[in-house]
This record gives sequence, structure tokens and C-alpha cells, in this order.
Amino acid sequence: MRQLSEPFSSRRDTLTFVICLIFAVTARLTPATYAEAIASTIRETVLSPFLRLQDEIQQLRVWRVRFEEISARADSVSAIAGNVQGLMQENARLRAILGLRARMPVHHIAAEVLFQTQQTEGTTIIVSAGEREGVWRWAPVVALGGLVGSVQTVDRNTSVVHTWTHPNFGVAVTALGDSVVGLVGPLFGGGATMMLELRDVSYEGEIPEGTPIFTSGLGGVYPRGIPVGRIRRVLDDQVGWSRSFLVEPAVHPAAVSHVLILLAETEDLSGAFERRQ
Amino acid sequence: MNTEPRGFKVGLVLLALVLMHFTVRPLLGNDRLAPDFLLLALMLFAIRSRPANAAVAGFTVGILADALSPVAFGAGALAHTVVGYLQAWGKAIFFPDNLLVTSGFLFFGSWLRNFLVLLAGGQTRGAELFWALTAWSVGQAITTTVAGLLVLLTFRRWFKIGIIE
Repeated sequence: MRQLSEPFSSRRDTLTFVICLIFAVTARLTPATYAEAIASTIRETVLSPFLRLQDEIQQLRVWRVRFEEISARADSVSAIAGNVQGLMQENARLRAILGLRARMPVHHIAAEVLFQTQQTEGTTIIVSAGEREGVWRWAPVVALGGLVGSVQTVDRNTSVVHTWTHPNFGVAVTALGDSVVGLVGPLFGGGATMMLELRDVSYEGEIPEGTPIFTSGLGGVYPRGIPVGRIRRVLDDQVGWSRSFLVEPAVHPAAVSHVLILLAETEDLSGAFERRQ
Repeated sequence: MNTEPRGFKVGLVLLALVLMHFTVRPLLGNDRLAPDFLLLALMLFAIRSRPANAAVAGFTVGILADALSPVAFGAGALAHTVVGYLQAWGKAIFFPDNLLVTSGFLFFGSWLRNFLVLLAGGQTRGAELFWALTAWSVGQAITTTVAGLLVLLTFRRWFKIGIIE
């Protein structure tokens, strides 16, 4: 028979619980700078072997995908040797996957996203490149489709990236060849899928649905020419002053497994991403 | 009754769950729905421990989770501490050996953790909060419960519920 009454009625249990709660609340109220320092220390010590293990597993997955691609290519070559059209399509697909790295005109590094479990995940992501690889705070982070966010904290082997879903995210953008300028930030309360909001657009600025918007390079964090998303519809008319637009993001952080971190400052990346006006 | 050998074996299972969190979980697809093995290890530890030990374990797991998702540092520690403590208390009050009750504990614990993280984090609002609580959190609670039941059924003899101390 289990002994329940004595140990479970202990004041020690309640006291320990309250102390833990106080520590937790203190941690929650700790200023961001200190909290980041504590989190960074934990990642570099206790969690370091586990994160390295996760990185190894991610790389195994990448190797498996690459192996399947190579196998598929080998099969394709043997099966459709006479079918030039099919071969060209296969080449085009592979170029699209590898193309971004090849086109990127600035020093960068590829990193895997080490996904975690909390529901706040997506707002920040941990990537498998850090100080050792030359990553610096505020380095822009992009994926195949466009902008992901920027590096917030740099550890020795990993970095924390604030994605565009973070409440503090904001980027200056441009559309239709600089005829429209504005600010883009996350839109809260829009639905199950996070969307972006283009704000402070001049009232005269007409933007058709589907228009791609790009970073403008203003503000100094993000270089010019990174795709941010596409215009969906007008959100709000502030008569006589400015307009807001709903923007479908170019990249959803939850769907990204690999990112490129830009390691050198550059002014223009327009050539790196394909513009489909 | 000598409980130490069983405790050691249970410890090995919990350690395996921690390792699975960083090795198997990334391969399971959608990250918001995949089972949280770290939380599962905490809950399996909590339901056979004293509330004080469960609270300390919860705080430790929570701080580690916060270091991995540092958007609202401390929110995870708070949530995991409460979940660990309530799991230990709940098992003292309800029937601990019933698989259905255990399923309910694992499901409720997973959902409550996400609820408290979102609440204490304060970063998610409006429709996102609604979807996070009704869709993603429920989905993750289901997968974590299923994983927990698989562990309990596989190691049923080792996990025979009892107070270690």
C-alpha cells in the first residue's frame, strides 16, 4: 500500500514549490540582456552536447535527402537518357535548390534550424552556426524564399534568430520599383497563420494584389532586395494619411529547415533572389 | 520493498527520453505537433515522486526549455514547475494505476504546460493564441500522450506506480 498522507502533506513540498515559483517568476522578470546571457550560458554548457547531437541528426537527414537526390538523378539519367526535356526539368529543379547559395554575392554561411518544442517557437529559432563560424549579432538571415529575420544572440556553436514573427520585428520595404515604400511588421490577430502587415504607405500608393515587396536597405540591418512577401489586400484606410496592407510572407519560419546567414555587410542583394513581378 | 533497482531502470528510460528529444524528435515532422519527450520525461518522473522533487525537476526542465526558446525566458520554468507539482499531487489523489487516468494526466499536463507558457510569455495574442491553445497545443498533447502510453506499456513493470521515497 502506498504511503500518501505523510509525505504529501509535508510543508517541505509546498515550500519547495513556492521557492521554485519565485525563481521562475524572477527569471521571467529578468531584463532581456541578463536573460539572454543566462540562456546563452546554459546552451553553451549543459545543453551543448545535446544541441551538437541534434545538429548531427539534422545533418544525417540532409545527407539522406542528398543521397536520395543523387540516386534520383542517377535513375533519371539512365531511364531518360533519350528524354532531354525531362533532364532539363530535373536540372532546373536542382538549380533552384542550390541556386540561392551560388547567386548570393556576399560572404555567408548555411546553417540548420534546430527546432524546439515550446509554443513560442517560431518567434525565435536556434541555428547551428555561431561565433566559431563568424556569425555576428544582427546578421540578416534568409532562406530560399526570402527574409527569415536577424541574429539576436550568438553562442559559440549556435545562434538565436529573431524571425519576422517576433513582436519587435520591423523592416523597411519597397515595392513596384521604389514607387511604394513602407514598414513591415508581424500582424497579430489575423488567423491561424501568421501574416505580415505593410504600414505607413502613402495614400496615393496603389499596390495591386500579388505585388512582391522587398527590403529597401534602409535601417542598416537588412540589405536591399530580399523578398519579404506579397501583397494580399488593403487592411486599413486612414483617410488622407496612410494605408496598411496584408502581406503574405515569403518564408514561414516553421517550414524552414536551413537558412543562410549573411556574414558581410552588403547594400544590395537584388540579384540573388529571382524577382517574379 | 526494494525499489532502487526499479528506480535505476526508470531513470534509464527517462534518460532515453531526454536523448530522444534531441535525436528522434527532429525527424518526426511538424515541430509544433511532435511529442515533447522532455516534458514526457518530467511527467513520468513527477507521477512517481514527491511534489517537492517534481517541482524542482519541473523548474530545471523549464529553465532548459527556456534556454532553447529564449523569447520569454522564465515562462517555461514557471509552466514546468506548476505541471510537475500538480502531476505529483494529482497522482496522490486519483487512481494512479489506471491507464486511462494516466492518459488524462499526460494530456492535461502537456496542454497546461503550453497554456502557461503562452500566458506567462505574453507574446501570443488574439487569434494566434486561440489557435495555439485549441489546435497546436491539443495536437501536441495528443502525440505526447500517445508516446507516453507507448513508453508505459513497453516498460509497464518498471513503471508500476509507487512512491520512490
